[in-house]
Amino acid sequence: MSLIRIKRGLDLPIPGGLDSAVLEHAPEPARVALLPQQSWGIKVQLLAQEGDRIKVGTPLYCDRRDPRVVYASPAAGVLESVVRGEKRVTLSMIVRAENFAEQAPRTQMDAARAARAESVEALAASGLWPALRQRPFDRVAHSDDVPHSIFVTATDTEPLAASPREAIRGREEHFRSGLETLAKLAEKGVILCTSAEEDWSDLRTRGRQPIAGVAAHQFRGPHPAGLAGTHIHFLDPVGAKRKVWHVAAQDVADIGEFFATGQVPTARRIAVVGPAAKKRAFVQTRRGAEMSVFDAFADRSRGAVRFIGGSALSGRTAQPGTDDGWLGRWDRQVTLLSDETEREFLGWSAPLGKRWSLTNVYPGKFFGAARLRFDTDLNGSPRAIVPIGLWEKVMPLDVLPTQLIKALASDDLEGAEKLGALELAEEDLALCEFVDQSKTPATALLRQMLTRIEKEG
Amino acid sequence: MKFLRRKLDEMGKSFHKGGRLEKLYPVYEAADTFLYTPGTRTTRGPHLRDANDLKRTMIFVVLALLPCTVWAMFNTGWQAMLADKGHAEALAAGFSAGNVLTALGIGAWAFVPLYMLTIAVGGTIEAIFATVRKIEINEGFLVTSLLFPLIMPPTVPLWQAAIGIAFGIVFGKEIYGGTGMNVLNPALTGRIFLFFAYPAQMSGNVWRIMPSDPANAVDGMTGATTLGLWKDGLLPAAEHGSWWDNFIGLVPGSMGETSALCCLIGAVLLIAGRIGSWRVMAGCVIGLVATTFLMNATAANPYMEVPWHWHLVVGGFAFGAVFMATDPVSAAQTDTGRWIYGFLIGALTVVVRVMNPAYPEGVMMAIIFMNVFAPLIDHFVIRANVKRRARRLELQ
Repeated sequence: MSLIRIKRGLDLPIPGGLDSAVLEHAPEPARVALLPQQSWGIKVQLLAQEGDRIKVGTPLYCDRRDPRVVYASPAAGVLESVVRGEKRVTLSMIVRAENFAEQAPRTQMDAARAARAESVEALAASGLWPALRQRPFDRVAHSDDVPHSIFVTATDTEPLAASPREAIRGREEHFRSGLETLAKLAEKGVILCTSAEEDWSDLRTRGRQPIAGVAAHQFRGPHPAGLAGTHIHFLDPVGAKRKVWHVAAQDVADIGEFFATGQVPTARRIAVVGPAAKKRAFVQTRRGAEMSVFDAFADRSRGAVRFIGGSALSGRTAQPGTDDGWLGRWDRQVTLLSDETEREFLGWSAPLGKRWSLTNVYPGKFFGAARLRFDTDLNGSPRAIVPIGLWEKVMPLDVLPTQLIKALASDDLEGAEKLGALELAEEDLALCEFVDQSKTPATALLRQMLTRIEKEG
Repeated sequence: MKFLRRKLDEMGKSFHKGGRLEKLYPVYEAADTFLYTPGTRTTRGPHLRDANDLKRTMIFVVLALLPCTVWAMFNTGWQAMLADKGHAEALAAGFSAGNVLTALGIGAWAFVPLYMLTIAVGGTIEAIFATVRKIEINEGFLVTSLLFPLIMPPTVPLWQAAIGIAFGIVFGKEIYGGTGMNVLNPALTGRIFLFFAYPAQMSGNVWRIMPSDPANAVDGMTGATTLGLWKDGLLPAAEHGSWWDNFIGLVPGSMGETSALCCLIGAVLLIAGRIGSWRVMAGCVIGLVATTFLMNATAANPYMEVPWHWHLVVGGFAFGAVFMATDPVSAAQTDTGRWIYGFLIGALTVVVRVMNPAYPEGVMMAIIFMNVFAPLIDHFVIRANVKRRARRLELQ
């Protein structure tokens, strides 16, 4: 076990964290959906038709590139609609949920004795496989690959995140079995990454014996100390030829529960947080739940509220009632932000300023964070890149952010690859995009580049 | 204010796509976002954004330049008064309120027209290029337009200044693709162009703001800058100002750069605001001090014996290190590179001052020279990073 200290980075002083860590139960969603486009580069092949009777674990679609891995329904009911977008791209598959207990039939297996191939087969058919994601490219893992190692991300430093330890409370045994199963899938086993502030030692031991094939590492420091990309960079860096997988703590418990009980778990624990949330709670809902189950949390007294699946930095707009208004496959939190447009007169001349900046050009931040506004204002407009060293302040990896982002912006494939684009996903550059005074869309540029590298490389 | 907002939105219509004045959108955008924050919302992650934008960054640099600007006007006027017999009587009272105001008035008369001209000429060129390129007008010009008059001698003819800023903006910046892409610092490029094109007015040897009637000139008043005197072998001596005079800036020189104290205030603001690179500034100072020690140790002539604390405060070094070398675009853009870049500017400054027989001042040359070399420094830093990362990947 080792402790890795992250010095560069940033914990946003944003208000709206959890009121308490006690788990509440949200009303059951009337509908759930899967969002195929969340899996990068997917070529969707539908496995169910509109109007079909669906059970928990019934395959809805798969990726033609890896047809063994199915994406399965988290609810039992009827497949209500398949929503398509431009060029007939499948945006979502919506299931009208009747219950969350009726499971699709499958044969039970003994996880402890199963060979690797059997475990892979069972996971791929259960619909739980997409919890495993691969670096480079941050896409769903391919079931034919053997990764160098599997990173279990058991810490979360995203703004307003809940502790993953709380998210698996009461499911500790399942978490342990999940680790055991995953350890068999990778060449070098599982790397369990936790926060230095939390004690996870009981979760990687069974009795007194440490679980075989599980190495543990602790991270201390500001965000992005809790991101898989950071862990991978320091412990087992990836490149064009080396792949690793990563998976979040709740998904490990799901995998453990699946092998222990033969049932596909459908519950998901979510932190509903944000400055525009009138009540902030840790709630249990379902995977793929419709966002309107969180409607009661939104504080609309100041105008429109944006629902974000994920954190304010790396989340995805998920407005209830729209095609995106569903809880995403990997979301661990729902963030609510004020989304009301407002144009301030001579805003640049405000001596104190109402908003927070990493630079000290708005001294308002020294007079208490409580009066500062955190909303969806871009706070400026796009300009040419003027590198004053802010990116370097929030980039803990041995990556030169200014040069990398410039390579991305100038579509320099070779340069971007050399400078470390393959090690990163959008979430790893989110802080860079946040602090940028030129408002360069760094994360979108990174995804474009990754898509291009995958296609051409 | 609602009225103004409505008016702007109304006017804006003809500037947007399909409008009559569509081509002039960058000009409208500049005015519109100057009056009101753009109000744009994020569309995807990161949904939150830092409060700082380029406008505020550049305004902050202008703020950091204010002490230098005020001092520029005062000292220009003050030196003019010293040179003019007509003020001899009044000057007996020393720094009285009346004298300070007179000096500020004379200085403003030299500085303000130059500043306005810079903005008019440079701003027009910026707007033309932005319009042709269909990009927003970049706020970097706010800083360039203030830096340029501050590094001019007060006697520069206005037509020369106009040519200088035009050359600086076009050949220092726009031909590379505009702000963010330039290799050279545009204000400095303009200054150096004038230095070589019109050496008589620009040499840096003699600072001349002569009384309107030559007969009124104080006898024996040459108006030579400290560095000019050093060049002539008149090394630090009481007759041309103490170290403190040079530190505070009560000596002749280009308008904004005489006061090391005002530059120090600017440096503190830039570093505290996290806008200016402390690595570049520290690198400059360390480079200058180290090279001076080397000179002192191997001194073959009196100029080489000049101690480091004099080199720090005379000429344009302080101004150059704080405001010109730290230009984030033309400087090195890696943290390691910034140290090397700064260090070499400091070192070269002393070398040019002491070793070069032609020019008394070296900081300007040193910065423009290192501007050219900054990409090379970065190249080596980047290559080391790429190699290190490739090696890590193989080791695992």
